[in-house]
Amino acid sequence: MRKLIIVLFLLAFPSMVCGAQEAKFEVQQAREAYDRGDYPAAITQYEALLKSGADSAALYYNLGNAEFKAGHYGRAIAGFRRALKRAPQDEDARYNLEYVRTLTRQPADKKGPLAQWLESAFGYFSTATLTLVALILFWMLMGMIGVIIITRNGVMSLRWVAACASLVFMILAGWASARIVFDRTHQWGVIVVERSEARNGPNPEFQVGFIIPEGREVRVLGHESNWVAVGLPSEGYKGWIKREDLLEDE
Amino acid sequence: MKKITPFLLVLLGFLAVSASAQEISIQAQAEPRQVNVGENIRLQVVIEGQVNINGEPKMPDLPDFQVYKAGSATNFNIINGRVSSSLQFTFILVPKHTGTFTIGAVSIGYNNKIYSTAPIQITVGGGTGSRAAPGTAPVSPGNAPPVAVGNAGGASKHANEPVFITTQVDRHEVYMNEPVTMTFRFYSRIPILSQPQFQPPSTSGFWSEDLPPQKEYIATVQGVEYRVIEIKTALFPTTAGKLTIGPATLVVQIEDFNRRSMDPFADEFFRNFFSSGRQVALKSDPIQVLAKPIPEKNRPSAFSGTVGKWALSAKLDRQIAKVGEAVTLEIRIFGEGNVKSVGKMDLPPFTGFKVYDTISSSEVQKQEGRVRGVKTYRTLLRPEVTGNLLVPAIGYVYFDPRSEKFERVQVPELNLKVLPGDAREATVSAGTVGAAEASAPSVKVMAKDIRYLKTQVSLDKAAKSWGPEFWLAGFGLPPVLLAVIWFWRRQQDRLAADPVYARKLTAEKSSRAALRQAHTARMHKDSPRFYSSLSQALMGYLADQMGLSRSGVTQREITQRLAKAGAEESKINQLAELLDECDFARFAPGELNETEMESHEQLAEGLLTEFSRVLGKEKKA
Repeated sequence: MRKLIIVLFLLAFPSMVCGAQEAKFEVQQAREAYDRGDYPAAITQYEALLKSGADSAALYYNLGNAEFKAGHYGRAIAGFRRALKRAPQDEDARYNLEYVRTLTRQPADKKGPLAQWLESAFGYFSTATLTLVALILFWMLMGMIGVIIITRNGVMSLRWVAACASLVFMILAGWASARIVFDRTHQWGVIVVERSEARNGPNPEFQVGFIIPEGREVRVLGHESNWVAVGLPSEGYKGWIKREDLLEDE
Repeated sequence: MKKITPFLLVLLGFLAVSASAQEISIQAQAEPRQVNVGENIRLQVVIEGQVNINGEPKMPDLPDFQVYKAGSATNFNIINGRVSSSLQFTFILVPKHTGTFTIGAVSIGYNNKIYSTAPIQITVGGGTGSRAAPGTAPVSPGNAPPVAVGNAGGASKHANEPVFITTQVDRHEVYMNEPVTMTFRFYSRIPILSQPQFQPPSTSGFWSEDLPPQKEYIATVQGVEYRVIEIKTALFPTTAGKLTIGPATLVVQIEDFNRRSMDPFADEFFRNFFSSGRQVALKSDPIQVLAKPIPEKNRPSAFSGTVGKWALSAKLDRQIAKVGEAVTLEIRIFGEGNVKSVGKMDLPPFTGFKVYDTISSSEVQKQEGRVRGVKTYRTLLRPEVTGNLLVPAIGYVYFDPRSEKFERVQVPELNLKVLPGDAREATVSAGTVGAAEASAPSVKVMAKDIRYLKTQVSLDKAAKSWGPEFWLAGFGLPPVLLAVIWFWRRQQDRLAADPVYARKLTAEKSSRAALRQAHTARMHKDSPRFYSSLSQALMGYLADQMGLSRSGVTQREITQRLAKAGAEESKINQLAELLDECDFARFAPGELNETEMESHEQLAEGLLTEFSRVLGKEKKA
């Protein structure tokens, strides 16, 4: 059995190495295209990498940069938002996002400093990071409980450690759960067309209520065939736009 | 409704207060005390006391002066039930001859006592003139020729009315930002009983500046003598076109003069101070003003909209400085006009200097009914090279409405001698703003852009893409493992605590081991050991399963228990026969019969299987 695993690994390893090298080559190609000002080519390369399964904050950040340089402010905002979702502490992504927001005249955040701080603390870690840390802690906790069971009573210090680990785990699990629920109930998207007509219903027959400019971040409220219900919290408007006008956060 | 200044009330209100038995004081003051013949001396008499004061002072004989009454005022307060009042009488004295004269004691009788002022000496020179106290026009006496003002501004159409107001402007056609002087006048020939409520005219389209001081005088309108309050305001049109100054309104409470004496100094007036009178609302006419736009023709590109008559000055706060030291360039634009229309100062390019931001301050001044202003610009310069540096000539363009031309004022170049110095020792001159910026070099932003690409790009699949199976397994497996551990621990504990249970649990295992031993003995043709192992396998297994002692168990006991458990009788008999065979073969070994041994081994295995089934069924039941 062990021999079989070794053989399979040896067979798979060259293809894994080749795949990684190929991907790195595509990253380099995308960067060169960006440097020479061929932003559409850079966008194509980054999108191909993402489609191949690679999924990192840096890739979305670079895609956002290329989209910005190509003049696609809405797609650039979407790229930076996705990068920040994966790496909330990424200063560069936050700077670039704020810069594009300034250019697209996003409405000012009306939240107070305390609310802003709480929101920032709540989103300080990505959901994936929180869940992974909670998982590792869970395994450690279960291991400790297992040792306590095997050794019948265990030692007092181990019980204390287990109690503390339980508390930390519960906090982390609660935090991660809240993030997951929040992410599912607070879906956002970015307008990626020059102007998106928001209608009063999911049908072209409905009257246009308001026009949303490119780059505007909107709340996603629901879907109906090829239409998306969106909301502008600062103005208090709601309307239906075409699905292709919007790039939603995953 | 805006309340008119208390001074208006002071001038026009004549209040009567009743007497009481308290002390009072009287003071007189004359200004100026040195005048020429024909000039005015203002004599003010103030009577004060914490009582209700009634009456008027008695003037001394003044044969060397013409004496005019210029009005009186009363302040009357009741605080916590305590009454205090002051009466103020103003007279204008015009000397008739040169020389030194004494104004004798002014007196008032109160509570059977006479209170008097100290005499005042006046020196009258030989010149002639018509000086008046600032802000006060000559006041005519009731029977003397009045000052010839008041008929203008539509006053004549109100002739014989007891009170009325007028508004007039000095010009009806001006350029944008050129001042128009608006004069508001309040005419009254009867006492006012309450504080008048004044609503100034609306001056939409103008920037307005009050022109103090407020003036008070007596004037005649078509032979009728009025007391006049005059307020002037400068208005600067901020837009071109026809502009309208709205009507001013004034609401006053007046004495019903049909029943009262017209002499404000009459005793009757004071007695009726608390009478209600009647309210009159006065309104002036609106006025049209045409504001002309600044001409486009010959307009210099540097013109920023400033109108008036302006001058320019510039200076450096020092003549010698070291390299890196901060030097302040102060530019002042001053003159007549709307200083708020003086715009940004465009400085020419400087060579050899680092130029910091310019800050400005402005000040509005009002002199003689005109609005003037000063705008000061301060710019911080830092010389970067040694030698004689030149601050280039600085100019400013404005429009002069009088000449209807654009004018340019300019200051010549300024010299600064710059000595070598250590930039780190740079000092900042006092009073300059932006000193903090000047003391340390700041980052200069040339252009703003997004930050560059990430050069280290991870191509791993993120935790996000691990899918729900990963998280399910991750969080599901540890509890399962923990449950296994828990069951294992529990079993171990039970085995340790319950030997019977432990024997039951290991019965089959030990019997199988004994069977294997028997099989080995059969292979080695060791008959006693074979039967011993076979007996041990059967008896040991059944004793363990039944919870009986291996050493003390009997064949009879076992067969009985098996019968009770529901085993077939034939099988029980076979067991009994086999056990007997075993005992016999162990203790009385005979000729080795391999075939028989093999059949006995198979029989033992079959019986063990059968009894295991029977006992298992019993256990379940």
